[in-house]
Amino acid sequence: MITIAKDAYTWCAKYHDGTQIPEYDESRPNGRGFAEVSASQVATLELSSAHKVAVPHGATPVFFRRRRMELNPSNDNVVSSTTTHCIGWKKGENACYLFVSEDGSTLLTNDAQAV
Amino acid sequence: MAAAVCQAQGGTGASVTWANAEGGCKFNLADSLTSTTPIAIPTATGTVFSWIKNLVLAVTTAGTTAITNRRISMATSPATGLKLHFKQVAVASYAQAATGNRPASSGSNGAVPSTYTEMTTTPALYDNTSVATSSTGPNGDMAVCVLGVDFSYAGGPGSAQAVPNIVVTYDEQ
Repeated sequence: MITIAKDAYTWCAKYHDGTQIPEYDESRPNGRGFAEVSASQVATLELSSAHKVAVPHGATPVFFRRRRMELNPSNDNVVSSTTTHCIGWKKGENACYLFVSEDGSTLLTNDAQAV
Repeated sequence: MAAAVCQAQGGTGASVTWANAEGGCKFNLADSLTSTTPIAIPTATGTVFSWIKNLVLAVTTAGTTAITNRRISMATSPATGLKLHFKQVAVASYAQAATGNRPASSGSNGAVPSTYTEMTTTPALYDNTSVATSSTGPNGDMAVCVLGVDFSYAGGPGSAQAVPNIVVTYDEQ
């Protein structure tokens, strides 16, 4: 049994030929894995139509959600739990990552560990 | 892509039992997440350590994703004389916390036990293996943690000394 835990943003990959591959749609209500995307065909990556990154030819598109949980060793709860979304690309020594926080703030960087 | 539901868990017992560590994880001298068996503050220059805490990121509701880039850090710097340390250990190599695998005390303040890495406020990678979230239970390796208390610690004895919050981050894709 899989419980769907939807996040603040969902991804959509757009191919050079105009095809759109969304994370969720009617044919895949449980969602797609990003690995199902044909990397070589991706022209742009979007997060809920609010944020977009163009993927250069020959680059590998990147998507992940960075989960952060903060535990208090002494008390009885998770102090905070947040998710930062990332879309971008990498090609050899070059990379571009757009991190989008839950509040909508963004960070554009070439450091995958910047957040 | 159905996201998984994850939880920080601690392992105890001879044949490991995983329990929610989000309900507290006390650094003590016991094979327990809740015991308040105290760690004696050194009375001269030196560092003593807690018993090990076997922490792991665990999937509690399966997803169709994979997890990688597991990192650990502290939310804030600890009080003078307190330090947290960690090391990566495979779940298959789980060892029950006991006095026998407690890191040896040191004659120096601020000592880092052999094979451990000092935890800082910068997230440090402890396991970058990509593991599918299709199964519940531990996902990836453990971060085995200990607390070091040295002679410079000015806090008084007690069962609820302040230890910084522990931050676990991971990438889900």
